Amino acid sequence: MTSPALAAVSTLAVMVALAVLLLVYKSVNSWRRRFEAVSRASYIAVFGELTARGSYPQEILSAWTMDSVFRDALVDFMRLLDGIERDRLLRVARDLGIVDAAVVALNKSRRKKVRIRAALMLYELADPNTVGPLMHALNDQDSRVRVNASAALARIGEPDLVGAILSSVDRENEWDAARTMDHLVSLGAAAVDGLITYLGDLTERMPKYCRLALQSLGEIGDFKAEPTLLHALQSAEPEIRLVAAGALQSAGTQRCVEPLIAAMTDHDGRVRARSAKSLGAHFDDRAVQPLYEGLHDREWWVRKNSAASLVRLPSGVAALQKALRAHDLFARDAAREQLMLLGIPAGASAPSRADGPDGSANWIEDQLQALDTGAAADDPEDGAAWIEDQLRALDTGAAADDPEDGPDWIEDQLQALDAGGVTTGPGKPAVQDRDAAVIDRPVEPAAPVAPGEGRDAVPVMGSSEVPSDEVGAPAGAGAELFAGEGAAAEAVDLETVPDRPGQAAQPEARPGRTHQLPAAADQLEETHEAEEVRVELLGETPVAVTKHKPSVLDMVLESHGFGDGQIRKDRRAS
Amino acid sequence: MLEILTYTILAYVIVLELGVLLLAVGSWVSLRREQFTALHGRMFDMLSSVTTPPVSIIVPAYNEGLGIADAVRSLAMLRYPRVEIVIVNDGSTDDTLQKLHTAFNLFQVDMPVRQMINTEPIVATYRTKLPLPVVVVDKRNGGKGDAINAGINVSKYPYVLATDADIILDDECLLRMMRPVAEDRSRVIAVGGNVRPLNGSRVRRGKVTKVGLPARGIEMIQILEYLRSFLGARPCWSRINALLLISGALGLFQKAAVVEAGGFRRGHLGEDLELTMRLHRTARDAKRPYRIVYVPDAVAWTEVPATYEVLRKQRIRWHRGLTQVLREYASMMLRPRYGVVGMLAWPLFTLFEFVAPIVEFLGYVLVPVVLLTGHADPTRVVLLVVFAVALGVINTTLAMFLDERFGLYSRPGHGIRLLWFALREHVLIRQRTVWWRVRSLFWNGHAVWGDMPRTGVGRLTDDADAA
Repeated sequence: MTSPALAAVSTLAVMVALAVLLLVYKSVNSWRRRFEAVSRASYIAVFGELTARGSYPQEILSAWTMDSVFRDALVDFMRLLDGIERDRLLRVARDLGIVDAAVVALNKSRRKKVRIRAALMLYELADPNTVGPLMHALNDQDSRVRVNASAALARIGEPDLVGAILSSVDRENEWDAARTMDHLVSLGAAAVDGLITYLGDLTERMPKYCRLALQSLGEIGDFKAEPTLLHALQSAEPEIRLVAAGALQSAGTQRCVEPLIAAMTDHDGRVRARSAKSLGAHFDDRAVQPLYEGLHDREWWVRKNSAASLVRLPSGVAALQKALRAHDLFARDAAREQLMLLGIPAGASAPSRADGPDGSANWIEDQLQALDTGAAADDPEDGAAWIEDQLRALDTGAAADDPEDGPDWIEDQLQALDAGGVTTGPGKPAVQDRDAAVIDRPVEPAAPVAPGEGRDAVPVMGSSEVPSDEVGAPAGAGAELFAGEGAAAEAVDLETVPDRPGQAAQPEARPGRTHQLPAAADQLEETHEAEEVRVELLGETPVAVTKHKPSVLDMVLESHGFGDGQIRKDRRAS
Repeated sequence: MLEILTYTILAYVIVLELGVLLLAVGSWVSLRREQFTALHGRMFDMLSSVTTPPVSIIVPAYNEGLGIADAVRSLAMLRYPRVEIVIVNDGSTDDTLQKLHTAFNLFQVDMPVRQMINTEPIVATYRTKLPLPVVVVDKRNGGKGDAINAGINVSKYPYVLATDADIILDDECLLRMMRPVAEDRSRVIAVGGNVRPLNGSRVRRGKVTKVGLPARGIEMIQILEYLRSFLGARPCWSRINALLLISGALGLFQKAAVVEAGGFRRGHLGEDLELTMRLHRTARDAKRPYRIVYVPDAVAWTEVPATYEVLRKQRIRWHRGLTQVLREYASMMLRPRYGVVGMLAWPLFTLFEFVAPIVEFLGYVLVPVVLLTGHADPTRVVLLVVFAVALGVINTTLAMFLDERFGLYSRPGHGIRLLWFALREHVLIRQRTVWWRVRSLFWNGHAVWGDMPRTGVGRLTDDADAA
């Protein structure tokens, strides 16, 4: 036979053999699964009887112990039980030798898969008589054996074992260590002393293990851990500070309020965010001012958490209402969102002309808004003339702020009005304001605020560093930031909440409003929805421009000789 | 000359099939380890652990009115502690948005959106009054990649699962995909799942209740193709961190990695392959340790084309996407800087996926010619053809062996039907797909997705439910 013939024939033979083998394999598997399903059902029925009666025919069950399905069914059924019923099944498992077999497999078998299964079995059984072998298994070569053994010890629940369990944690990867810690949490207060001892002065362990231990202390929520957590809040490692701040939410007392307030000035945004969240849990009005300042933080999560916490404080709602008039769009939105969740109309604070021209940007916005809604005390039909008067007054230096800077200052205000958004730094996108009358001073084209710099900088949206909800957050720590986020997403009946003073509630969907931050000027297009958006370039800074309806401002600008875009071009030229 | 060319082509095909065989063996080893870990790794601890990372599920929807509500309900039932579901209505011209409004009692919210990736403008954002973590984003049409990017911008969690609106995920799919992430959060940046054809299976209330095989041969062939691809090759590539394709139908990504890489490409026919390659390149250029893994027991179900016409369009689009990516990432080929990806996976992928159809097509043309003209020994040629075909069937059979671990096509008749179509595939079916792929090379450069008519997963329900 030639080579091609040999190759072809042998390959055909292999093909046919494989096909036959596959069919046989499928048939056997199908039969086996059915058999196992029936067996399993039978065993579980027997276990049900057994736990109810408390006695069992040992000779029958002994025969079944050879079946792996029996052991698996026993373990699965034990998961559903508690108390005396579980103890009965555990006694059965001991009498039938299942526990002993697992112990022997755990300590003697050379095959790691066998040891892993045995450790898993002992975890499920959680027999206090197996402490010794499990302690021995903490030194196993395979991490899965060690983790299952330590989980089993934690499940047995003797406080004396905490130290032994924690001693094995340092060998594990982060996920396995986390799972071990999770099981320690189930011991509750009994594990606190062991965890505190484990942490020591935080320098003896790797940061990732310290984080997990601190997190466990937070989950347990025992106040005994507070001094340790406060010490951790001063750590040089930002991730440790982050977790400590989170743990103090549940394990802290009023003594931790001041340290958490101090942590709100941390240079790491995640620490600030988590501190803001924890402060909300202590219902202490000392936190109101720092949380209010947190609404203007450059970090997204700091603002969100600050608003969510303010809602919980006795004087927090007033602060949120004040924030509705803040410069920062996101501060206003965060405040509005929380107030709406409380059922407080977000536009309840209608501007009053009696406030007088304090020269603030918000005042101009108030007047425009008042004009816009027709709520102004003065003749609203004379709107354009009136606003012109106000601007002229400002222009002549009658403004309270920067009188020597009159023309430039008014230009800034008009520019900000016209821009309708906050410029966030050179090259950064601007924000389109829903209410379309945002008054903010344009950011001077300076170096972007670097992470870690003071919070005096203008809030920057989308800074160059990765936001705190991104991968930078460590395992567990990042999850902490989101704990309870679901609450913010709870359904709220906003149908009856007016979004502007004097405006009726809108039961139907409002015309679409774009709130996208344009990355480039050329990406925004004019819409035919309620508000037009036009993007103009201020040098290199794209700014979203919102037109008001009615276009009072346009009339005013035109009457002052500021043509469309002219003010910006002139400013650039100067 | 013709004879030499014919034998060369046949040798190429045989070597190709042997390569696939090696991959299948590697996948077998990988699957054994993977399944043991899944079985004994106590994955369900993740359900109650605070360290479990939360996930945003992003669903781009374009004219998915038929099944979008079912899709969202299905996602809301996933077993995972913390998720949000972001539906991105990509400028649909049908009633997709209206269906969402009706099904989920949406209300409009004003939500500042961080523009981490440039996208088409967002028109509106909605939340639901029901206790569901659902956000609906209505935006201008920009294509699937653009819609996913918009979803990424809106999402709040550090991991995103990009899936299609017509996909049904198994209950524990997300949990299984997140297991490698939880175990190695610092390195794992992307996870792919196992996509299976839904055709022939029974769906009830958004879940697959009974796995079956379809009646049509064209659907059966695709089942075999998916088995070979998802079980016969990917586990092996994943093991050596050389997985080149995270399927666009089911891909989990670390959001920061995707943003750093620039997000999904707009208007790209192979946006999933392109993004995966870009993730590889970005991480390797930065000399950063990373992993892109595949989880075979994270299963999602999708409806595959039931007619040749639709299948043709799909395969042409896929191959055009592949061609695009090949051009764009040719610089990675055989570069030591890109490790096993550049030196092994990418060249082999090019040979298997791009060159192979051309060579195979030439073979289909040349073999009859040389037989008729007598330029080669007909016996030898026929035997070699038989050898190559038999190897192909063996590879398919091995993939079916691998699938047996999951026990899905477990009925007695399933095996026989699948084996029959493993043979039948080589008669006038495979030749068509090869021709389509070759034809796609004569592309005028205009990238289109086209529409795939769907029956809608909701319509695959039991009659009792439909009544």
